[in-house]
Amino acid sequence: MEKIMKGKKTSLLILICLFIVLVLVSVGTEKARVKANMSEQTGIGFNNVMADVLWVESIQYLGDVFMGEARKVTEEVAQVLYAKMERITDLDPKFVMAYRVGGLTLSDARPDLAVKLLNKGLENNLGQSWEIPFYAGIISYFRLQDRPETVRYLKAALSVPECPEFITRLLAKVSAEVGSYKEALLLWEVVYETAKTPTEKGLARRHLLKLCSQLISNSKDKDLVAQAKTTLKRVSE
Amino acid sequence: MNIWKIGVNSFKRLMRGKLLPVMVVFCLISIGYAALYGTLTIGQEGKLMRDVGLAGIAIFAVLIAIMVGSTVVAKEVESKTIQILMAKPVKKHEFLLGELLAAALTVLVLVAIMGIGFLIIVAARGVASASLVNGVLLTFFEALVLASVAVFFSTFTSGMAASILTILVFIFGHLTYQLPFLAEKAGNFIVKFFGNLLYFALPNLQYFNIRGPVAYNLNIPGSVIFGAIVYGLLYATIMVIASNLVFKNKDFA
Repeated sequence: MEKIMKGKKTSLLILICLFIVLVLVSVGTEKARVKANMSEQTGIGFNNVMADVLWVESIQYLGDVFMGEARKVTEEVAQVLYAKMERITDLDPKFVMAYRVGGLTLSDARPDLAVKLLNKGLENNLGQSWEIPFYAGIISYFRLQDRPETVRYLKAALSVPECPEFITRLLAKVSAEVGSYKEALLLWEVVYETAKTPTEKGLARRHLLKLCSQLISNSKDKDLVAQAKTTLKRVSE
Repeated sequence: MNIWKIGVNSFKRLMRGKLLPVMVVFCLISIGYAALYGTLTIGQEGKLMRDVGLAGIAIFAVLIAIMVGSTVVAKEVESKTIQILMAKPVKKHEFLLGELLAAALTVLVLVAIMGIGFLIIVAARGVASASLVNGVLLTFFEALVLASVAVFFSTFTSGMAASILTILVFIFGHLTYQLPFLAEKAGNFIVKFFGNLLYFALPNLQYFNIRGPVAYNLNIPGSVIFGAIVYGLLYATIMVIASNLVFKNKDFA
């Protein structure tokens, strides 16, 4: 009996020691997950599959819309589609394709909802997808006529390493439109210096010549005029 | 030596059952189906296949672990074959460890079959990545923890009750991240203490869930995987000692 009690006590002691080690390992693992940005997963571990099922359903729904009588995204369809995309991206916030397809298809009927969805995508995938801010920028430019927001989105797109070069040109153009001449001048210079083809270089040169001439004759900012003169001289050579 | 013999015999008995291989076949069919399902979408075939495949393996691994863990000891007790074993020079802890070994081996073999089948299918479709192996590996450790929890419950309840309790642990084990938050909000010291105690006492199964980042081919730090493996092994060991403590007091005469 005494032997059994002693054995039990030893087992309990080992259990307590192991539990303390478990707590320490748990804290360490949690820290590693937070550092790796993996601590925000919710549910019982199958959210991504649920998002996939809803995604396939949404694509089929869109197919029915485009093959149906209306053949376009109406106000009613936009509401349904936005709700679907919201649910998908709530379940899987990294689902870049849902933001992209959702943003593009909503842009005709409800550009405000399209930008709202793309903003959510931008928040959840900061620095990972240049397409999301690019689409938001395009919708802001053409549909909402909001130039300052377009500049903000294009800048966000440019912060992604894989961002294609043409966005620099686009940002330079829009920056000039909103009166950010200094920025426009700088961006066109970047395009001019980094151009890989003669066509691209020629295009950048043409824009620089036009912008510099405009600045020299109209701007009151002496520094900017001086910079424009220097640039003009360099690209004219 | 007795542990190994009991373990291998029970493992063979478990593998002879028809239900487990059928579950593995179902899992492989569901992964194959995901390949067809992927064609219904736009540019997301790879992600969809990886998501469905990993989730399929996880679901079936958890089901297998619960079934095996809750029946491996309970069956011997309910059918009274344990009385024959106890008449031989076999100690109770040897019997328990042998049965646990059988459960762990069964889960390991079946998860490995499902994992290899899954990797072959995704490789054939050209959407495989090395991180998928980590996803399958952690699924095994999640199943191992659940199998040990099921064995623990089966030492003092029936097989059916052990299964239900382990399913509850599986659900709560994925939701434990809410406990410290709720405990913090409660304000009361006692609630806070018990909230945190429960958080550490329940297995945190989210540690084994890396399916999302794996499906996106994201880089998962080694510390996250290593931490989860150590955590899983420690939790399973604690369950084994606790099971042994309960099992020691049982009288099979």
